[in-house]
Amino acid sequence: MGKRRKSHGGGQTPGGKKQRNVDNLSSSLVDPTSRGFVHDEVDDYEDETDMLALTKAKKMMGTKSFSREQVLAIDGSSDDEDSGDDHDSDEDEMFMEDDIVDEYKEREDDERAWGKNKKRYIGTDTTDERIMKQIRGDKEELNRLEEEAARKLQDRLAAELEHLPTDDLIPQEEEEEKPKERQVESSLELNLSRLSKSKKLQLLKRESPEFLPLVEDLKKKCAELRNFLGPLMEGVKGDHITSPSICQYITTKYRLVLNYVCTVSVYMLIKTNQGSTWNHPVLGRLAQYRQLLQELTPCDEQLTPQLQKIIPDIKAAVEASSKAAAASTKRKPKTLQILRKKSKLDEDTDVRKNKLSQLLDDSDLTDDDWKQKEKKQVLNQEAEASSGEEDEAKAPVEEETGDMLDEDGRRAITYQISKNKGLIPSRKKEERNPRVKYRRKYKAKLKKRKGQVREVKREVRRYEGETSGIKAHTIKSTKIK
Amino acid sequence: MGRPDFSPRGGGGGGFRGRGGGGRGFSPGGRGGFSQRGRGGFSPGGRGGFSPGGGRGFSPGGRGRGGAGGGGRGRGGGRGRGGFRGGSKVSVEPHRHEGVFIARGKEDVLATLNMVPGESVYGEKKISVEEGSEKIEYRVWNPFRSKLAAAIVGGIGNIYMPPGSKVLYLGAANGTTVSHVSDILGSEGVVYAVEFSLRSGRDLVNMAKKRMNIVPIVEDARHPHKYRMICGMVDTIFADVAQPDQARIVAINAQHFLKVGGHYIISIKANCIDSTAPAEAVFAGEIKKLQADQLKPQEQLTLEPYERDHAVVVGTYRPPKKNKQ
Repeated sequence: MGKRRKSHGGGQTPGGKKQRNVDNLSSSLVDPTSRGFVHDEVDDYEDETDMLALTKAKKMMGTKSFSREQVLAIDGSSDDEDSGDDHDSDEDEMFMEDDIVDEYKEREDDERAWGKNKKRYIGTDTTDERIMKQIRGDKEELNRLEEEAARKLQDRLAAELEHLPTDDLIPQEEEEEKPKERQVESSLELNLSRLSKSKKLQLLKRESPEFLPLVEDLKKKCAELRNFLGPLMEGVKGDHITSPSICQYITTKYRLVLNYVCTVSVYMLIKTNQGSTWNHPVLGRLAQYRQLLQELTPCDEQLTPQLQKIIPDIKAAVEASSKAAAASTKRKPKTLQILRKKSKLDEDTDVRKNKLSQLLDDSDLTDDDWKQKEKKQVLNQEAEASSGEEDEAKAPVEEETGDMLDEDGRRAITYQISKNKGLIPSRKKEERNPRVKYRRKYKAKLKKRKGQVREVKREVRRYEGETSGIKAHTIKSTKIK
Repeated sequence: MGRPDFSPRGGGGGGFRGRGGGGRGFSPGGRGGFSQRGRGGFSPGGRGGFSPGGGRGFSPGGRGRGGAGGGGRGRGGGRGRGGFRGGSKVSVEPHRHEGVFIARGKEDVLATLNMVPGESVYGEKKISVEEGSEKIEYRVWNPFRSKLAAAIVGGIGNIYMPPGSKVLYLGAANGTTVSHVSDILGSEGVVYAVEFSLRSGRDLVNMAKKRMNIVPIVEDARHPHKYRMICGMVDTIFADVAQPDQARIVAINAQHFLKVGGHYIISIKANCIDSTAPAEAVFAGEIKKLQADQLKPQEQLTLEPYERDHAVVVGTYRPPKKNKQ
């Protein structure tokens, strides 16, 4: 494309040049102010070429008719333009290895394929072409190109997404839809700000269909905790429920639901902060808890109506006892309180294990169900022990419940907190004191130096001989060549 | 080495009175106490009449045994303190350097075979060993007193003083080291001991009276032509002159008296040459000077435990050129 223009420009110039040269010759010799007085032919030639380049650039800036075409199908456009033009094809050479139209069409089907050319796989995106364009100020065009490519990618991903069966993605099977989430999120994040609220909701549903049901579930579980399980638990703690099997059931359920709620909130936190939860371990944990809860449902069905009836009684009993306790705690010394709490804790743990068998007898459930449940619990505990992340947070809390309590009922700060040392490496005792450390260092060095440089001794006492002996055959002098 | 502050009676200035005038001029030195009894006849007169300066005894340069010993009398009573008394087992064995011995007892000491048995030159200890009916006496050589001994204990490669060789000793001082050198050389060898200081020279001459292989020369070592008639060709020059121009002094003496291919041992005290420069630099500079004077240095040794900033350099004078093939 350049050549045509060149030839065009070349056609103009010779005439003008000659004319000017003649002028120069005639005038320069006479008139000192004229251009020819200073400039010679070479200068003229330089100017000429500069002018040419400038006009060329201007023209290129002006013509944008084919630029779009060029971008969309680089191969095709360059073929059309550069047929028979060897000079300009250098730039595009790596993009148009094959001129045959059939092949081109074949290639067109798979846009994502990079082709056979080795150069495409090596190096960066900054090709000579791009650099040239940047120099010419074609940033807009480049930007547009990039935008277009991004849009294409987005569209493609969206199309892929539409094929997915999003309807059957209920919260129970979140694990299965993880990989799909990833694709969607990676592509669509950019446009979120522009969408309207309804569209956003739609997007959310499509992106993570488990989210809204989970929110609902969370609300439900919270309500249950507050109204149903909480009071029951208080009853258990206050020894108002006597049946050990029911106690067992309530504590299990209570803890399970609490953990579940915790996990869901963690999930939401991650969702809000990072956006992508597809490979986060919390999902697995969530699924686990849901499964456990589901396994408890037969029990629930049986026991809930009974328990609902008890709740008011328990509440009353708890209130009465709490009043009595409040009155009593004022007199009781602190240690007693602690003792009481400790003993309670111990009882809890013991009871849970001992009375599982009783529970089996009491309930009308089949043996298999219960065994399964027990297994799950064990598994759960193991999992918690192994995956330390959440458990570390919980464990100290559980341990420290038995710790020293303040008068206000708060835990006292630990040694670590009170010292507030941060992360410091452990050191040897002598290294803890810098002065001593350097003194030792100095002594060691002195010893070393004794072997290297002999100190001058004074004959303080009468000379008795060499303490370390004389060796007749050692030569310690240095040879001088 | 400068002249003592009192002016010796008579022609002390004319250095070369050494031997000729010796009978009269230097004998009073005996008063110093090294050799009292044997020369009893001389001493009383000399002693009483001598100047206040003389009263100071033989302490110059700290070389003598110090005033505490009571004018050398202590030598006789050397026992009572010190290491090799009381039958502690001592075995004497020869050192790598011929004529030098090591006495191994509780602690090892350097020793030389005493040429004059029963005599101690500067109050040093003696070790006597009985071999059959013969009694051999060794004198302990104190490295704090003698730079040559310090060099030997320090492990110098060679001292080039085999028994029977001739040695020119520059800076003999009181003759402590010279006496040991004379022990090493034996009766066959000769040591020419040059000392300019009259006071030290007196001690030297007195010592030389008992040891026949010592030729004392009380002269300035800078002017070897003054004693060229006394001194013959030597195999080795030992120099302990502690002068800034000691390299030149050694070179001149070597030109006069040292045989071609002979050796020299020079003790360099860095402080005497340049007290501002570091010792190493001074040693290097001296070695350069020696090389310029055809005194090819062979080895160097610092006398570290015994002397501060001292070095001993051993070398060859006009070494025969090596065949390239």
